[in-house]
Amino acid sequence: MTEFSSILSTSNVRGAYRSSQELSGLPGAADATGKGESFSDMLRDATTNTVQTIREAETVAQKGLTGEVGTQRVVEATLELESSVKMMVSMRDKVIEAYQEIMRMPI
Amino acid sequence: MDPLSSISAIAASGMRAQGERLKVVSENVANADSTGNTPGADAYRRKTLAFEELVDREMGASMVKVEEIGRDKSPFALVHDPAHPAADAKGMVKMPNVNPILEMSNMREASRSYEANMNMFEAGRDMRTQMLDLLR
Repeated sequence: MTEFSSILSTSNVRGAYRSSQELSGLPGAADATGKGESFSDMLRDATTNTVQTIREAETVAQKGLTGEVGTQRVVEATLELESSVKMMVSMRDKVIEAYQEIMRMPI
Repeated sequence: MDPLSSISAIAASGMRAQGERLKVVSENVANADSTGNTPGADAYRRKTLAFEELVDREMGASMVKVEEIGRDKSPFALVHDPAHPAADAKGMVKMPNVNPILEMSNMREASRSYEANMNMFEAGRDMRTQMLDLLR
């Protein structure tokens, strides 16, 4: 028991806890310190790109139906859409999983 | 840009280029009998095409594009047919310099090349999917 307390002294624990508080979990916290973009910014950028890809694919598909662009272009845009949506869904699943993990944590 | 995403763009440029090539081949085959309609007029000249590297700076990738569509300068075959509208004073008609066997092998090559690019496209896509599956 004495060995254990020497390895993990209370002051160390307190120090670790304090440094964890300094980590920016909130949007804007990172902006205030100027340490790059926050998680929510990253998420917003990723979503904007995906939405743009989806819109593009829609336009191309419509043009393909009227014969303005070739079949290959339509297929390319659709596959691009598919992979963006897949990426998006995987990210969402992962984030929700992490959230549920936290919710299940006994306090 | 992420290399796995640029693979699809590169392979797509290859597929477009081979499509262009097949278009030229089909023009040549379709015009294999196109002669002129005035005495001594030239017949259809076989079209040729050349590919060129196209560097995409944004993606940092070498794509391919059709550099130019030219005309085969080889001489026409002469056929004796005095009744033809394009027959000259000696009754000779200039026939297109299209060689069907050459066009057929060109067609084969274009379709095989298209297939190779298609496989590349699919391989890149599979790799991306496998990567995303890691998240599950």
